[in-house]
Amino acid sequence: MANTVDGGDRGEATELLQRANLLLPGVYAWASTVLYPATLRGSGVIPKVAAGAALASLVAGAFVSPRNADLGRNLGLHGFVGLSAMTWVVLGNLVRVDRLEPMKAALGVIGWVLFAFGWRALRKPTSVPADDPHVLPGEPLRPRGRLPIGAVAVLGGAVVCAAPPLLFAWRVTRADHALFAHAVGILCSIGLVTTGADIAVRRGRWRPLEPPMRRLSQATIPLTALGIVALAGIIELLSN
Amino acid sequence: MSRVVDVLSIALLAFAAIAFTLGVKALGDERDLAALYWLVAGALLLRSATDILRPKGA
Repeated sequence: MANTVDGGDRGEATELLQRANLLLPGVYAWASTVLYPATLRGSGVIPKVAAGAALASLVAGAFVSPRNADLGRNLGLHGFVGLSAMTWVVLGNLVRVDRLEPMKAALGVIGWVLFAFGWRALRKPTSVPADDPHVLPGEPLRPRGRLPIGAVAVLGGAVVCAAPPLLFAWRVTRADHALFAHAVGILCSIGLVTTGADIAVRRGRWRPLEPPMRRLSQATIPLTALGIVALAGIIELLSN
Repeated sequence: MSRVVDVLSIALLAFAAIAFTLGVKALGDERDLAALYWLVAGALLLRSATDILRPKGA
């Protein structure tokens, strides 16, 4: 009996946590990016109604989701995002890039990212490989290699370094350049994280294969081009 | 010497991050030529960082 009560409590706690995961970041993203422009002077009634409907859809989705995942997803994800997008469309010039405040916009992005993470779900495994009757008995296999020392630090540093280009893209107020800046910021961040992961894993793996000078010679072309670019920059700096 | 090349690759990655940041910042300051300069420099720094770690033929 006690187990049943415990199980029931645990189930309710899980549902509450699931709802909170969806509601908190969703309401934050809604308040910072939908409610704020919808309540600006001159926005009209339709954006306010659309914004209210978006919030209602989110709340309904969050409450329905633990019991009916499909309906919850339709209301809380598709309905909420669709109605939020509709609010921005009917707001028109009030959400032009040059009228947005960079800090609020950046915080709004974080809110939407957290909202996306709130909807994460792990696929339930259909079968456990270790339970297969044909599995070979014995000790689990151990990995043959280890990550180089400091791999986590290098990758962590690369992830941190990837943030500034994304944040600085919000400072671009020229309408034509703003989208380009965001695309460039995303590309730069992806490049930095990918290269950081590459460096974190590859360090120390080359030792028996490649002497240091050969490694440097492999990068001759980009290093030479880099030297030319740096020289051009120095000449430009000195001429000014 | 080998360790120096490892450190160099990490330094190149850090400089690439700085160059990209300066590039996007210059775009916000309406200095398009400077933005282009820093973005190209960042791309070359990133390419150099990976090339000195890649085994020959990879």
